[in-house]
Amino acid sequence: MCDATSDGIGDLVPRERALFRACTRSNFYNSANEVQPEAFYKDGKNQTDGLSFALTQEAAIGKKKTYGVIRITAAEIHAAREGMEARLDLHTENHVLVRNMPCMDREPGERAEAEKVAAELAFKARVVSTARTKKIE
Amino acid sequence: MNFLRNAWMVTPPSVTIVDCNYAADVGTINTIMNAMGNVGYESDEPMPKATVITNAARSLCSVPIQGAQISPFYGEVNITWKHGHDRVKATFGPAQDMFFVYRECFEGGRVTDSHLEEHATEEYLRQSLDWLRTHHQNV
Repeated sequence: MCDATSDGIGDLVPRERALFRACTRSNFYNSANEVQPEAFYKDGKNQTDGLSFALTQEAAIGKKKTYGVIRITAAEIHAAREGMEARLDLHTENHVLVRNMPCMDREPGERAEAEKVAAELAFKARVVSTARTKKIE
Repeated sequence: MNFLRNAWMVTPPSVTIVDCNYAADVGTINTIMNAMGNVGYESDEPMPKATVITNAARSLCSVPIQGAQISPFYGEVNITWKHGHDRVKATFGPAQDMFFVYRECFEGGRVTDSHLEEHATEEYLRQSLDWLRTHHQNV
């Protein structure tokens, strides 16, 4: 898979912990508030250490422009695909990186796997907030 | 938005597309542009190039895009059609000639069948949309 860097990767997140992901695009969920696969697409060139999640909603939003927040558990991440792990980021408090996730910008076999994993995670994830936030400079 | 202006500029009025006309082509470009402008971008994410958008419009002008979800992703134009949880997704770019079509059958929280066609054609996309419609009717 396409995690190019491993610096600052900490322990596994306990299975029962909820993970939150900021909706940095409006298409992470639809008008019926169903999470869409796009919420779990990873671009390997730009997300070199894993896909970003957080242990709290506030940490997920940070200073970003967002369209809401979605929730999934660490257990659901770990069960999605062999080798996929939610791990603490030692550099940033409350930040979690999902490792060993297939990437969208790799050869077609990996891209197809990335689509499949994203669809299955989207089915399990839930929208917990649709509040929009503005970017804080 | 320069890339919007460029998308128009690189589509000369004399272009003739199989099964399409210029008005349909421009209409599809407008639909793509409007949809993509509403989704949002990651910081430092490259936008799709004008040539990718015009290629997408040409390939899409003979298929229905009403109700499809259109969105950018790191220089790509993605168009997704859904029936229930089954989906067909066409991807154009980021390279000018890239055109993928992905089909997915989804049941009980799992992907039960999927295929990614890496050298897709307009005909393959039409067949995939037929598959999506008929598969959903037969379930």
